[in-house]
Amino acid sequence: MTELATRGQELRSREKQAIARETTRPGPVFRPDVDIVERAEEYLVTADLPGVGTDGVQVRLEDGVLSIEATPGFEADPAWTPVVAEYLSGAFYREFTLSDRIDTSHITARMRDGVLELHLPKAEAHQPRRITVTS
Amino acid sequence: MTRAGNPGHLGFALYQSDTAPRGVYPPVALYEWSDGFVLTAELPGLTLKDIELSIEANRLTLRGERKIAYPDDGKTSLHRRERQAGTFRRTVALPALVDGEKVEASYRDGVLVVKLPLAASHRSRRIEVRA
Repeated sequence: MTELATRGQELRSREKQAIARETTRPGPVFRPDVDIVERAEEYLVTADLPGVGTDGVQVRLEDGVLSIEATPGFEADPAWTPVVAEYLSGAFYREFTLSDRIDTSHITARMRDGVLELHLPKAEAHQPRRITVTS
Repeated sequence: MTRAGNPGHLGFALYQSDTAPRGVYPPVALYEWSDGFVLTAELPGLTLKDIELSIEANRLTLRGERKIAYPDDGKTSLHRRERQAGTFRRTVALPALVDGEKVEASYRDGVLVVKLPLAASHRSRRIEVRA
């Protein structure tokens, strides 16, 4: 059985990757970490978007391109004086070209604890099917 | 990045952070406010029982585990794996003593926010000068 979950190892911090993307709002835009898993009936795309609530994320599908755009809702109180900043905050953006094997009308998205979970069901014709062989 | 040499509201000059060696998780942001400190950390995808916070004198320790698991029914394949799973443990030395009993922490949308009021002995007091 393949071990798909990594446990026990110590987490290491990594700097967020800023991307060059102009949006209407000023500020940095970062490329979120994403996992893509293929299962029998669907693709599962999971993105880490810390600070982002359900209202802060937009998922779009246009011309076969799936895009994730998110803005964190959490902001430091202006009355707080920054002393140390070991990470940067900003918007997130990432896009993927989907194969046409996705049933685009049944994509579902869920946002929880700063993690976006997208379920992309495969189009019927592309789900593995068992074909009965008769003699 | 540390900002040393700026006295904050509380008058701490030359705050030198225990600048975390590169790679320590989670990276944190520390703020001063009138009553004490606020520490924030981005910790997406945790459940409350996976976070452990403790305070001793001026040291705040964050421990926990980030779990990521995908069902493995033999028909699952990983195309891309960028998110990390694993344990973390980090102790942050704060610039002043905080009141351990008044520390409040909340976790929302993947962000941990810890409010750390100063210990009574470390609050600034006005000293009356008598003739």
